[in-house]
Amino acid sequence: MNSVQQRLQLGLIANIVLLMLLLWWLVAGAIEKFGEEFVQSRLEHDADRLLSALQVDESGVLQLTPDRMTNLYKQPFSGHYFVVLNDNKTLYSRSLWDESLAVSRLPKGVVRQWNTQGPLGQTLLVWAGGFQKQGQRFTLAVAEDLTPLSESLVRFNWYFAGLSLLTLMLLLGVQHYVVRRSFRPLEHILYEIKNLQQGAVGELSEDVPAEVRPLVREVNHLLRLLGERLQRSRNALGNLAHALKGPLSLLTRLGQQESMRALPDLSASLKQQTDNIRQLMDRELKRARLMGQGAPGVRFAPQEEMPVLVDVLQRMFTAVDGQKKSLDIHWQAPDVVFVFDRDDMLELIGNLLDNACKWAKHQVRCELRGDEYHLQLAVEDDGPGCSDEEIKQLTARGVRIDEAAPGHGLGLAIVRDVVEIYGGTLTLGRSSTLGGLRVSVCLEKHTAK
Amino acid sequence: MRRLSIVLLLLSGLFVLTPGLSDEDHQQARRLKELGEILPLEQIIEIARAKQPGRVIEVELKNKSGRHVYEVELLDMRGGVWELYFDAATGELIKREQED
Repeated sequence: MNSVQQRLQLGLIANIVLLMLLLWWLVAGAIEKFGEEFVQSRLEHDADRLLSALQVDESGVLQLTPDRMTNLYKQPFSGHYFVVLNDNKTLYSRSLWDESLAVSRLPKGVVRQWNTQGPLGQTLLVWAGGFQKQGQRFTLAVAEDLTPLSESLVRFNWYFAGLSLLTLMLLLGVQHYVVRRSFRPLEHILYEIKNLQQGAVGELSEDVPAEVRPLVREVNHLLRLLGERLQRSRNALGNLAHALKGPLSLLTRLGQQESMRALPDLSASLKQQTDNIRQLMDRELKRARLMGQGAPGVRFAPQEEMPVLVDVLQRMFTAVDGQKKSLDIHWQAPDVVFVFDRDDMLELIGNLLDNACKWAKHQVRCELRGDEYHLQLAVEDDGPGCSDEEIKQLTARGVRIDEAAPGHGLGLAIVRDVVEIYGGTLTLGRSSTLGGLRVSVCLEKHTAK
Repeated sequence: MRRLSIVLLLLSGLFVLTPGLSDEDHQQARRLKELGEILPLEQIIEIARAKQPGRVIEVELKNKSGRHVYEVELLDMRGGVWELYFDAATGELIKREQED
């Protein structure tokens, strides 16, 4: 029952039914009243004519001048009847034939009206009065069948019920249409939220009906707040890693001091721990550098992100220790938007390229393929590559192939973590074109639907 | 008693002889019904409608060779007028014909 449409419909039905009942009560009552009043006035007219046609002789015998009555009073059971009675005699209209009408004597000047049963199941409205003519007192009663009236009332009731039902259906239809139309902006908002989820838009459009605008504004506010908070924590991590660099190098120098040589176990342990800290810091710093300023989202557009990433790496590696290395990073990607987390993808590709650049002599190739939900990534270099034995070792976390190239092992471990999160596959091998290491990754996103 | 029957006989003869006074036939029908000699018209009409549906437009009570006969005129749905003759005492259909 938690539907606005249903609630509105129920409300409308209740209102219409109530209104129609009231209207029906009023109109049907009025029609019945008018009808009876009409019949009554006709009866009164007929009574007047009968009174003029009635002759009473001195002995009190009632006589009617036959030609002065309408034929309706002559046709048997026509629905129009009269009765004239005095102390001596009762005179019935021919229409009553062999039936009678129960009429009691009324004093002069008294008029009465009632309903009674007539022949052939007719319902009669009887109008009766006490009169005096030519010195004789008598009671005159005229009656008319109300069945045609009640029949037309029944017909009216059916028409009214049909019309009410039709009106109700029509109004429900119109309301349904109006509600649908009014809720269409909500469907648009839903569509926008889906886009938001994929990172295609940064915030929701506020060009919506006034009723939902506050909601949209709140969502936008929340989005901005979340974005700022994420940016801040990212920055804070980067800043922290940066700030720890000084104290860490101090610690490293401390471990290399003469006095520490006397304690080889302690100095080895110190070296290992400071190395660990350095690796973690390097990772965070690299991450902060690679992420850039883009908004987070489940959307990765390689055509937008790759140039920036490649540019950053180019600059990082052409200026390593002043050694100029002419590095050619070649990348290739389809013009699609993958529904993978941008940060994860940047970390994955960034680390792989970082490794490749580190080992490459001159050339690095990065190739992306697939569609929205499938991503195939291959990174190759023209460096020395790895032997089968080394490749086997690389699968273990934190194992370094060359101690002289810091961060290598951890980089691959991060890549493996990301691949595991997505349930993808990571393959190491030798590049057939460049001769160095080839790392390929397959990721698949299972759609909810 | 004899005088009464003579009067009745005279009266009934009068009704047959003078159709101009047919206004009075219902009074005779009332008397005969009260005497139990004929069935109420309501019953005759019910039988007539069962034989031929329609609206009753005229009823006459006739005396044909000592037998009371109800002549009922009915108008059917297609506009045809039917004449049905009933034995007023038993309600038996004597004759049915359609007027041209």
